Amino acid sequence: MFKKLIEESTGKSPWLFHINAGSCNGCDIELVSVLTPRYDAERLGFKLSGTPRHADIVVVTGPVTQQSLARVLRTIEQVPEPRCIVTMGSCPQSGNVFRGSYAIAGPLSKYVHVDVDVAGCTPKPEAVIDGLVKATEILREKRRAMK
Amino acid sequence: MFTPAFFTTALLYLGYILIFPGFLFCFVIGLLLCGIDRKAVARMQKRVGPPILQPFYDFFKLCGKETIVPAAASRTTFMLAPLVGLAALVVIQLFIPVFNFRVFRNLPEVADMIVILYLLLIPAVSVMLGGAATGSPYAGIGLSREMVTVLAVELPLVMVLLSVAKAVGNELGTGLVFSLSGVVDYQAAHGSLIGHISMIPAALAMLLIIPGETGNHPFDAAEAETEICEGLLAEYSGAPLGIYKLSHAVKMLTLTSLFVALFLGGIGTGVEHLVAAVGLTGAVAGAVSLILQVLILVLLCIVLTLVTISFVHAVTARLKIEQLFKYYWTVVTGLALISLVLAWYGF
Amino acid sequence: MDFPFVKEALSSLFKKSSCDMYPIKPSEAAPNYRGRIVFHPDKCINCMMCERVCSGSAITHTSEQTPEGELITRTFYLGSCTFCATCMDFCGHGAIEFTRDYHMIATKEEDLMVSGTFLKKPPVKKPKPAAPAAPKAEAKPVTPAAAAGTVIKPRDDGKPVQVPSKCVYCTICAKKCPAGALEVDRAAKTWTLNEDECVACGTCAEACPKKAILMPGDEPVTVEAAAPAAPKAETKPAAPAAAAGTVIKPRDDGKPVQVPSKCVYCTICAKKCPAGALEVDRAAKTWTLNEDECVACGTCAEACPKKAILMPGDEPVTEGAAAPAAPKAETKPAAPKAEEKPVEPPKPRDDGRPVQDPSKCVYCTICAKKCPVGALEVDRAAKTWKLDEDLCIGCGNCALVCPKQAILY
Repeated sequence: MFKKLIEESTGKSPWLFHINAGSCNGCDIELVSVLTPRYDAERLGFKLSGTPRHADIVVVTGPVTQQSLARVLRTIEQVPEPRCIVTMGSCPQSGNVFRGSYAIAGPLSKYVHVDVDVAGCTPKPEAVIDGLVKATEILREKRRAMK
Repeated sequence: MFTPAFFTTALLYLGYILIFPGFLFCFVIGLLLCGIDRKAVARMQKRVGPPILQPFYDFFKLCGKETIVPAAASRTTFMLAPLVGLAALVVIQLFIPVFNFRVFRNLPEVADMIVILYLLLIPAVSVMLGGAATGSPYAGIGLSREMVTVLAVELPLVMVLLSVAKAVGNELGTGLVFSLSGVVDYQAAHGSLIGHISMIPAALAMLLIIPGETGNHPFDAAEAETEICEGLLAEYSGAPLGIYKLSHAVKMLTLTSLFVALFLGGIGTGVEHLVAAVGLTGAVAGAVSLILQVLILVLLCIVLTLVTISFVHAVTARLKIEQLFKYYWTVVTGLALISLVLAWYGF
Repeated sequence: MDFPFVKEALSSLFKKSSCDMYPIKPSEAAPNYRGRIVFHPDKCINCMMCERVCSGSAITHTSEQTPEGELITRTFYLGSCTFCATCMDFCGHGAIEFTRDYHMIATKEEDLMVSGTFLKKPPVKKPKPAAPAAPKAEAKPVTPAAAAGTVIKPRDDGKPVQVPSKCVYCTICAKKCPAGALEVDRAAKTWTLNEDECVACGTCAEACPKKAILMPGDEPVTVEAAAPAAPKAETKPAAPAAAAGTVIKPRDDGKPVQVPSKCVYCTICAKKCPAGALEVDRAAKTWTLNEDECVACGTCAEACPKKAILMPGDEPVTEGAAAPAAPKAETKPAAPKAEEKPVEPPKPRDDGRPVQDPSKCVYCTICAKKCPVGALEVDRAAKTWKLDEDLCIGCGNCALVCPKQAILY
């Protein structure tokens, strides 16, 4: 029963950690707008946390530049299990217009398993909420699979 | 020694510690206050806000998360510090009378204000210990800020307690009354202290101390999550983090119920008269009046939380640490000082 | 210390929240929002312009050769798309559409793929009901009834010219034309060139089985005075029941004629006819030519074991006196084009802007039409090709679309 309680709670209290891996700031602004009074993701329990140790969902924006790659991977490793990785926008999924640049190490899926992709350049806040809700479901599944 | 009476008493005290004014009560009401606070702040910001039960979800979720102990940390300190902090808060809750109800009825001198003052320091010290044990630079900054915050808040708190003790002592003609039970007993007999002119500045000061002591919004420089990643908690994850979050919630309950005990202690008397008037007697009357008193306490705590924590959170921006220090040592200490002077001269 | 938000906070507490309750209440994107791409493979002509203009390299294709044609699958990877809609703007056929659907959530990469498959066939001739755009062009076509003795010269703008005396109106040129600029009516014996559509590529001349289309560089053709008057005047099909003693002449429209006395009705000709225009009944001893189907290719005559089919150029067959018919169209060498002066080949510029090669350019204006910034001005009549240096962004589209490779980039 206690396990069930934890599982339910995991689905209702996803804390976000946002990594900017060389993003143009478009996605970052849209992600923040999800937490503003207009969309208020706190309704669904979402909260932006300041440190990866507190996070459940890691949101990566930007095409993962050579400079940011090591930091992104280190940050993701610091997130305790169960965790979920969401790429936001086209950049971390493929490199987008920066694809093939000497400065780009992405896409992110080359290095870590990405759970949810939110496509768009940038995605609408509604699409971001969609993606985060999807990530929450995955998070709950992962919690169920634990132990 | 091991007579049946001993076992009954032991069981009773175990119940006190684990259930009623102790752990379970603190857990439920503390997290409830926290949820109400978050919802109220959201509403004041014209948001829908999280469900009231959100802190419960957060706590249980954190229990289910992996706990990462940093390589540089001292494992024992890291894991034990949050438990010590929570235990101290539960002990304070045992010492704070719920109107007529007291755990240490036979030992009134145990539960005095000085002890509570010291115990209130322990949660802060435990956060500092645990944070410092991680070796994180964020925790280092958080540590220094937390210490300044504790220093800043402690002085006006001492003055508030002193002025209350002096005011009650003056009335009873016994010098200073530091026993919290004594203060509540006096209020039960003579009406709440908030009615005294000399106590109004002290009550105001106490209202301003509550958010500072709990580390809530304008006074949360020590754990500013947007600049220093929650400072001392930066490296915590999983269940220990959950216990810190719980401690934070319980602290809200502790401080608001302390306020009720200090300044609104007379309200419970009315309940007993009411129960007597209805015609209940004996154990039933005791139980009914206790339940009613607890309900009133919870209600008062909710109102105090809304006023001192949520409202202040919604209308202010975070203070810098030096602004915080200056504010407590001038405005709040000033208010408490006025109260002390008035109480000293018997107003 | 002042608290400007006290009033606001207290009044908001009792007001309705300003939240969009999104996952509970569905929300629709604004008009013209560019969301998920929809691809209409049936409209795509595989011009590759979308792939070229895509900044995120989100558009790819695979192709596979099948008996019916080239099977092309075009894929749009939304995970690499910037939703700039440039592909949609450049698609001349409306095959790419941006919808307002913004729910692009994927747990697998395939969820973000939009693709469509189509079979690439030669472009179908577009029915252009009224094309008064170029009346001079419509009026000019060398009509079949060209006066005898006229010299048909290749045009100097690179576009094809019909030699009516050779043309058999088989419509092959119209079928092969990549721009759908030719309209050939077999029944009415008309050959019409839509000047605006023609890209002067020369495909029609290459495809012509009768060499009836002149392109620049070809020899002019003189229509012989003695040629049978109007090829339009259709000779009635030689009836199988030709009386003995009649002279059977080859037709001058290039189609086959049967010599009944030689024919054994073996049906080989009918079997070999690529157009299925012959019907031979062995029992009834009939040989019928479907005039509309016949493409005047001569396969039947070649296949005939009895030499019972006459094609133009063959000797007339008769039981009586020989009546040799003059070959109706004879090519006569004419003076080569005077304008063939040596032009030194231009060199590509090093600033990324295009350079015209006047020796190859046919002034078809396609480059000007496809220029994304309108930096090119091409006048077909005046034969000018002007580049606005300030506007040019050096994208190279003009060089890409030039059918003559006349732009160096």
